[in-house]
Amino acid sequence: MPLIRLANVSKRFGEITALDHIDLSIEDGEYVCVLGPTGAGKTTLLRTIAGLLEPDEGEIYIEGRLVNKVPPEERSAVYMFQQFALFPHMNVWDNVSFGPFIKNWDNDKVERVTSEILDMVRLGGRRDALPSELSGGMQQRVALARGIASGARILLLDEPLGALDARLRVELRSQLRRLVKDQGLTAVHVTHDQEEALMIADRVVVLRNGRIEQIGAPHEVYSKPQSIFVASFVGGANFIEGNVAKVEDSGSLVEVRGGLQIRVSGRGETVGERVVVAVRLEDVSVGSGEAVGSNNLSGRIESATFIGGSIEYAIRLENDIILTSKIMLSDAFKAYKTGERVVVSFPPDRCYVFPYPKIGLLKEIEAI
Amino acid sequence: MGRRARAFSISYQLPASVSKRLMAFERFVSRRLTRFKDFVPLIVVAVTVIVPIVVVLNSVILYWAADPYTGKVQGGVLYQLFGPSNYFASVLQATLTSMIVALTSTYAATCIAIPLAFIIERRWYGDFIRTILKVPLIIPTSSLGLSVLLLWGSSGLNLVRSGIWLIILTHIVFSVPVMVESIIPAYEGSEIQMYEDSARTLGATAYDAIETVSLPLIKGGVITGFILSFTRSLGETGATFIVMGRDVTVPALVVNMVEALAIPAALFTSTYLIALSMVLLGIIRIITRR
Repeated sequence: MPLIRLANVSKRFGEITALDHIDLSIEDGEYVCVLGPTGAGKTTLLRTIAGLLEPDEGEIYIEGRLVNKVPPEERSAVYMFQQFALFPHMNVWDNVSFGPFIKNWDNDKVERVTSEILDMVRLGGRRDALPSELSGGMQQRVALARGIASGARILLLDEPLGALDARLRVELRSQLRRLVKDQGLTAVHVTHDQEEALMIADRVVVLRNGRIEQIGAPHEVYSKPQSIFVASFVGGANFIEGNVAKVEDSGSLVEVRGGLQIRVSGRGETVGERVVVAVRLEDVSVGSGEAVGSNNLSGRIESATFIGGSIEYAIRLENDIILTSKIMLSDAFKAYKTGERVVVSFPPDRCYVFPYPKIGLLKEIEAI
Repeated sequence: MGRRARAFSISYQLPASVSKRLMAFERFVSRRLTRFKDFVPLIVVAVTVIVPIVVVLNSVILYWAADPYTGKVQGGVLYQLFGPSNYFASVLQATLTSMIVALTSTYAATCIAIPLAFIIERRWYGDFIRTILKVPLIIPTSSLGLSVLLLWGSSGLNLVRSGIWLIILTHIVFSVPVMVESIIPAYEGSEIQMYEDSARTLGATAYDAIETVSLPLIKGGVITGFILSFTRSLGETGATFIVMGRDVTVPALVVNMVEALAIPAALFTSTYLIALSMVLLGIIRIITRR
């Protein structure tokens, strides 16, 4: 039995549909990341699970119990805000012991649980400090400790790393996951940072305009995107418009602008169908020499951008399509200069084929 | 508010020569006279607040034993206070009345205003209530007193007689908006909803969350409101005068004295009222400092 189950949940704010018939099951002990752009309904989803918002339609079950009308304090789900919402008038100890205190546990137990958890997050020495005297990272730990101490089984994390600076954010990802796993908790973690979601989650839920676009393990979402949006939002890709020219057993040929043909091993059922081919930036390799065979296209380097461990080349093909290639510095045989003639290639089995979206390719990607 | 002000603004044009000179003057002032920018408000405070207090104090000293111009003992502060009219007893009695009124009405107003502030912030009709609440602040206090008297007094519902209870009732009416207006900024400045939501998911019931989280967060606003409405209640005269019956408060006593031409006694009582306010404000500051 899943710990949390949402069945057909919808929530509207006036004209805006924040959640559109969401079906989602989360198992006990799972770490789920809800990933989506701003305004996708991520926070609304989290708030409905917490009981801070009531859905207009559908049912929410926690531990198999229908909780639509159950107030937040009886749901065993702690909501952690991006700003941590540590009570500013209480010191660290009072903040962390708030849950046990308010639930009227006996004093010994409050004392024991609080000091245990404070030691666990390495803040035993700061128990008398006020939240305003702590650094961002410490505040985040206090907020986590407070949630864990309350005895909740579910942590609802709304951009828990969003208020921290970039370096700390990366450092704390694995810590956060380890803490949740060690405590045997279930976490629903909302973020718009795809890297964070892929790294931290057991399962990623990609949300867009209140609808679930794809649910799956991180590598699955990354390597088998089910829509143009997912391919673009998770990882990013080159998108090439074209028509299916030929369907074979091993895949199909897609004809793109300027008569160039791309071989793909994905779907593309009928000849003449308008499709979009997506190729990951890191699947596009750049070499010098002659263009031969399928998916070896010649072009010129339009620009080269150095970004730390890798280089991004923008290559203008002969048909004026611009492809972006991301090459790790360690794999780069030579550095190409702007204007240099090169050949780009990408394996057919790394091409994703999607039917052309009704609202247009740009609009479809723009939603990010 | 801003939008409305813009909608009603009148466009006007000064003659070019005047506006040029004005601008030149303003530039001169803002460049050369910056050191005077503190000076001018300080002078205004001195002239309107400090000087009158000094004058009153000085007069009390002058009139202490006898009228300095005629030399008559009857015109002195001491004679009027302890002489046949025995105003000193009235002052003590009025002090007691004033203190009871100010404390009771401010306390009652606090109890009413805190839930009202939450209603104003959280319900769709909140703005309407906030506007309605401003009415007692706008209308003249004497009209307010009259309306309270007509409603509750013998010619109306006949529930409360003129006297201390009616004074308290009147003071509650104008203390509530003062409290509410002080609490609302504290509420809006502290993201109460987020903290309360947080407390709820940690296991607090709605009531517990308000008690342990929201109330402490608006404490500053409540204290400010308490001081403002307490001092206002202590000094209020117009409405009190209409509803007080035989229970006289200190400021009303001053008016009574002036009307009875007992000016030295009135001067003394004023000084006394100033001293009393100072002491009470000091006490409140000490209590609330932390």
